[in-house]
Parts: sequence; C-alpha cells; structure tokens
Amino acid sequence: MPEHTKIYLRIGNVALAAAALVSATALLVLVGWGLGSEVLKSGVPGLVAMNPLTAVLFLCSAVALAISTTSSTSRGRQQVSAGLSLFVVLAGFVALGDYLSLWSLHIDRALFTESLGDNRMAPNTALQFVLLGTALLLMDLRLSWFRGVNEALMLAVLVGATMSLVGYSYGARHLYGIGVHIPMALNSAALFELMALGLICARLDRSMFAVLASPDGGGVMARRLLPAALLIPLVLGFIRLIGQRAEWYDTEFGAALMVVVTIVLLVSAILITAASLNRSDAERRQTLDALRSSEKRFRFLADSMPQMIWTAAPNGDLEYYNQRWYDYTGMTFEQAKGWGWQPVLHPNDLQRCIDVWTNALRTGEPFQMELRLKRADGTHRWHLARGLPERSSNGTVVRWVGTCTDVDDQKRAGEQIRELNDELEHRIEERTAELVQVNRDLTQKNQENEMFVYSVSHDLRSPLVSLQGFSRELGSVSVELHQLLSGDSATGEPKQRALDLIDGDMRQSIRFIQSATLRLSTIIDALLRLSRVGRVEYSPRTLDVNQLLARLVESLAGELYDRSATIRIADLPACHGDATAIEQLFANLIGNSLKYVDPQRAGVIEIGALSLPHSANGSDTISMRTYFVKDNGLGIPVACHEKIFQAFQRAHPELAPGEGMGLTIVKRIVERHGGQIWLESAEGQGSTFFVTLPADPLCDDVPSSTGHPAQKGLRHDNRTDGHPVGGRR
Amino acid sequence: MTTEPMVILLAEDDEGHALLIKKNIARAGIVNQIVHVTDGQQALDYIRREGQFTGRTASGPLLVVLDINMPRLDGVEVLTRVKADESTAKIPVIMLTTTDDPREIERCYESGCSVYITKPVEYDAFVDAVKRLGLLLQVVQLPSEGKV
Repeated sequence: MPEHTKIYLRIGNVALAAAALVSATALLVLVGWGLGSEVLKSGVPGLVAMNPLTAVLFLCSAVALAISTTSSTSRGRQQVSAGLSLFVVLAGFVALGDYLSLWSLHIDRALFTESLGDNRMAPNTALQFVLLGTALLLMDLRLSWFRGVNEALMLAVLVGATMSLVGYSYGARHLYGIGVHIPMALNSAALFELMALGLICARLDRSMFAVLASPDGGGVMARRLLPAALLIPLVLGFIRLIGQRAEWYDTEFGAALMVVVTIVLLVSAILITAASLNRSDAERRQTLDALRSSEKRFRFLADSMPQMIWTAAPNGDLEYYNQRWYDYTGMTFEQAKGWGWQPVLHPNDLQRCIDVWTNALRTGEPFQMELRLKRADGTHRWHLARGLPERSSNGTVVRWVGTCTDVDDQKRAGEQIRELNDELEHRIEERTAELVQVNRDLTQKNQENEMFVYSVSHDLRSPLVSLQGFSRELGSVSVELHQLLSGDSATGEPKQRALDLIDGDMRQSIRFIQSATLRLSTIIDALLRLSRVGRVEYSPRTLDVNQLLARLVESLAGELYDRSATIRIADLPACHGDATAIEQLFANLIGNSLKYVDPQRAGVIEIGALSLPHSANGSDTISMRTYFVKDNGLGIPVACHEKIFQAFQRAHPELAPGEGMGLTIVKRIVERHGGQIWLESAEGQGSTFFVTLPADPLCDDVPSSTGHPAQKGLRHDNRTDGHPVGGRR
Repeated sequence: MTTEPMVILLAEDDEGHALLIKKNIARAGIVNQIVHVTDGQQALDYIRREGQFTGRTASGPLLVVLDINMPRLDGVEVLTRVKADESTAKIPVIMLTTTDDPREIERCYESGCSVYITKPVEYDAFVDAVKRLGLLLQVVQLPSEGKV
C-alpha cells in the first residue's frame, strides 16, 4: 500500500479515537450529573462543571464525527450525521441567543434542572458549538468555496479551545471566560480541543494540515516538529509563570529568559530542520542527476541503435520516435506523432498495418508484421515491425514500445533465392527429361547394335560354311585324284574317272569357294559402307530438293527407260542437310522402287511432300518436313516391314542383285539428320516410304495445313498403319 | 510303318550348302530321294501339294529339313504353318541352320520342330552332323504322308 495511504489510515484512526474519547468523557459527565459526582462533572474538583447540555452536544458531535469518518458513502448514515450536526448548530445558536437577549429559552437548564445550581453553558462554549456543528455539516461538501470556510471554522474551534486550555493552565481567566459570564469548563475546553483535532484528522487531505500526512520530507519534519512547537512554548510559559509567581525572578527577567530560550530553541529547530532538508534535497538532486544521466544513456542507446524505436500511448497515439526514425523518414515529430505516421507506409501495406495495430491495441497482445516503409528519398524498404505492451503493476497497459528493423536486404535475398530455386528446379526437371530421353535413345541404339552384330555375324557364317565345306571337298577330291593318278596305268577307266572328278566335283567346289569368297567380300564392303555412312562428316546446308531430284532422275534415265517406269516429282520444300547423304537417300529409295516394279503394270514412282504444319520433333523445336517416295511395285508384306531395314535383309532376293543394305543405309542417314522413316505397304499394292528431314530454318512458309499433326504424325506413337522404324525416338 | 521309302524335303536357299548337305547325306548311306527347294513358300507348296507341286502324288513318309534364313517365307514360318495345319502337323521337321542363338532354338522347339541342328563352320563337325542325321534317318520311324 502506498506510503501516504498508510498514514492517512493512521490519522483516520486518530479521528475515531478522538471521537471515542469525547463520547466517553461526555457520558461520564452526564453520569456525574446523575450521581452528583464533582470529579466526573468538572474533571478537576473546584473548577466549573460541564453543563449537561454541553455534554449531550459533545456526544452528538462525536457520533457525527465517528459516522463521517467510518462510512462516508452510506446515505442513511450521512443523513444521521448531518442531522446530529444540525442539532448541535441549532442548540448552540439557541444557547447563544439567550446571551444576546434574542430570547430566553434556557435550554441549557433543561437537563438535571434540580441539581444544576447556576451552572449554564458558557457563551463561548455555545459559540464553539455553532462553529463546530457547522464545520461538521460542511465536512463532506466538496465545493472549494466551502472547503475554505470549513478550514477556517476548524481553525477557529481549534484556536478557541487552545486558548481556553492555555488560559486554564496559566490561570488567565479572560482566555476561557467572556466577561462576567460563566467560563468554559476545563473538560469542555479539552473536549473542544479533541473534537477540533478529530475533525482535522478526519479530513486531513482537504485542509492545509495535509502536509502533516505527507510521507515526504516536509511531512516527516512537520510531524516531528509540531508537537515540539506546541509543547515547548506552553512549558516555557508555564515555567516563566511559576518562576514569577514564586518570585524567583521578576517580569522583565522572566520575559527576557523566555524570549531567549524561545529564540535558542527556535533557531536550533530551524538549523536542524534546514540541515535535514538539505540532506534530503541533496539526495533528491543526486537522484535527479542519476535519473538524468540514465535518461541520457537511454536516449543515446535508443538513437544509436540501427533499428527504429517508438513508443505509443495505450490508445495508439505515437509519442516518441528515436533519431533513426527521423533520419530514415525525414518526418518531424509534429508530422509523425499520434497517427501521423501513415504516409510512411506503402499503400499496399497500410490497411494491414492499421488492422494489426488496432487489433493489438484492443487485445494487448504483442504483434509482429512485415511492411514497407518509405525512405526520405522515396524508396520503399521492407521492415519488420514489432510492438510490445508495457504493463503497470495491476496489469493495465500504460505504454506500447516497438521497433522497426530494416529487413529489406534479407527479404530481397530471400526472394532471389526462391526464384533461383524455382529456376534450378525447372532446369533440373528439363535436364532430367533430357536425360531420360537420351537414356531411352541409348538403350534403343544398344539393342539395335546388338541385333546388328548378331545378324552380321550370322550372315558372315553362311559363306564360311560353304568355304570350309568345299575346301574339304577339294581336299578329298585331290586325295582321290592322287590315288587314281598314282596307279600303274593312268589310262583307261581311272583316267576317265580322274577327268570326271576334275570337271565335276573339282570345278564345282572351286566355283562355290569363289562365290562364297565373293559373298564374304561383298558383305564386308557393305559393312564398310554402312560404317562410313555413320562416320563421315556432314556439311549440312539448305538443299533445294527439287534440283537434287532432277539431277538424280537424269542419272537414272537409262534404267527408267529399261523398266518402262515414270517418275513424278511434286513441288518439294527445301530441307536442311548434307547434300551427298540426301542424294544417296533418295537414290536408294528410288532404286528400290525401280528394282521391285510390278511386272503386271507400268511402274510409276511418285515423290512428294506431306503438307502438314511443322511440328516439334520430340523436345526440340526444329520443324521437320515429311517427304515420301511412292511406287506401285510389288509391295512388301507387313511381316517384313521391320526386317527390311535390317542389314542384309532382302524381300525379293531373286529379282535383283544387292546385299540388302540400301534401306539400312537410308535409315542411318535419316537418323543422323534427326528424322524418322516409316513405310506403308502391302504385298501387291506397292510401297510408300516416308521420311522426315529438318526443314530449312530460313524458310518460313508452312504449306496450307490440311492434315492433323496427330494423323500421319511425326510422332512415334500415333501410328495407324505402317511403323516408323528407328528415328530419334 | 510302311514300305515306301522316305522322301527328304530339303529347303535351303544357299546352293553351296544344299550341295554339301546332299553329298554328305549320300556318303552317310542314305539313298532316299531328296527334294530340294530354295525358299519357304516352295517348301510349303510341296508339303501341301500346292502351287507348282499341285497334283504331286503322295509318296512315302516325308521328312522336312529346313534352313531358317530363306527369302519369301523363312524356316520358322514354314514350321509354324506346317504344325498348325492338322493334316501336316505330324510331319517331322528338322531345323538345320547356321544360327546357334539359344533364343532362336527355343523358338523353333516351341513352334514344334522335332530337332534343331546347327551348321558348324568347321567342316568335319558339319559332315559328322549330317552323317548322324543320316544314321538317325535310317532308323527312324515316320508316319506316312497321310491321306491324300
């Protein structure tokens, strides 16, 4: 509990104690009147007794005071207290009126009339009651006007009572009695003193005596010195009087002595008080200095931090910014205080910021958010804004304290990292797809190679069997010949037999050996040629296919004539590739068509291009052109469509010479250009070979698109008839 | 079991090989008739008595010796077709070819060939193989060619 509240409580208790004491004494007086006890009636026997009415009024006052002190908010009790106070005022006034010859009511003689004698309420007593009653009435009124009056009244009562008491102690009748009237009784004076004290204590904070209750230096000092200030003059005066009455010294000496002692005591008191006050002042100044330097330290800290710091009132009004804020935003305090910081926010963040801030103010919860603040030069930078509530000891928010930290660099870095990450992922995806593709290609190539090696070794074995076999035959023939010729007579039957052998078996064997050797040689040549097709460097350029074909057809003129075949060439788009290779490609295809002309009809060979919009080949964006060579020859059975592209495969070996390499070479060339080749044919219905080659990159014209890319597509999988063999996929 | 002599149908496109086989079969003591065709289609025609062999009179039991690599219809095709047709399924088929690829061998047996023989380049082995074939043929029992 704060210091001054404790003191006030203690002082409130004093008021109650005073009230209790007064009531008790008043009751005792009344009992005294009842019993006829002088002691009870006048305290000190021989002195004037307290009037019964006076006792009653004291009782009422004490009760009123007690009520006011303890329960100042209950209306019922307040009314009782007011009623009692009013009664006191009126009674006093009436009693006074008697003395002023306003009327002759003698209410002070109403009680204990028989034993009163000539005891009456003294006029000053009556006056005191008027003042006291009024003071009690006005005690709780809050108007400052009344407060001044109240203070005056309390002082008057206090002074009056004190005067009476001092008068009694010094024997100065005029202090406690007015003229010839009955004087105030001693116990009355004492009780008035107590009442005045009680009254002052009851409402200490409202009078000038409030300083007495202050816990600060002044209050302590006042509380210490006041009793001395009251008692010492009293005692000194008394000593002086006694001395004088006992004729130890005369008036002048007495007066002088008293004055001197008073001066000494007062000066001592002043010096002591001054020293004490100086000490406490010095302490205060030290504390103030420490506070100031602490504040300077804080300010320096706040201003030198790289972050912006702000504080705000509980209602959200910004009250303080550190120097960093001003430096960054370029605003002044006048502009930025209260809610004036809003222009500094990025328009996209403003509403969110206000929402979060007002929500925090309402809930008292710490908050944190990222927002953009505008620098004095106009650029926006990301900041992390944080706010914390500062609470008092009973939990209410007294202040908001917050920071704004520049996180722009980190945020941008974070974004960059994210972007880079995304890009990296994207690239990885692409690469993976590429790798998957390459893997597939390699696997396929591998398989093809394996098959190739297998078929070649198989084809090589065949002539070798013949070679071996007939060499052996030759061997056995020569043995037989030797036998025949080494006989006795090499004439007649053995000679004939020998000749037969030579002409027959020998010649036959030699023939087969020769043809087998030739076959081997052919195969090896073909292999070499195939390998060259794979190895030779290409010099790709834009090729005018029409021109190329025209030359080719010219060179084939003789064979065309022999076979009575015709060639029709459509207007073909240019392509991009190696001139020699492409020529060879078409030469082989045309050559095949010529070889396998159907004897039942005139051979017609058509060369054209498919009018498709160029489409992507796999993941590339190179556009391809599709050419075809179509004939109406013998056709190729569907079962052989895959086989014919393999080395040494021949569909109709009996019709024309060749080792079955032509299509293998064509396929290899097509593959090296990144294209595909496939076939549509059936036995007896002619054949159409389709090849795709890279389009001329400079040539943009897409022939009118009538076909669907999905149909005779350039894709491996969308095949309805014929199969693409090989190619990039 | 019939008294009619066995006929050997040899389907082999390489003339040299055919000659070597015929010679060595003869040396092995087989004197049966050997019919030589040079492609699969002809072989089928003979067996079925179609094409150029239409109206062939069925003779004794038929034994087919097939090379695999032949134009028009390869050996395996012939084998498959022969075995697919009920009337010809019983005819024993011997594959005689240069290939020794186990997959190929597997395929032929699966398709129903009776025997698979590899033509070795090493001539002695070759001769030996044919001789043994011949000996086998001497003792083998064959179903008759079937109802005409």
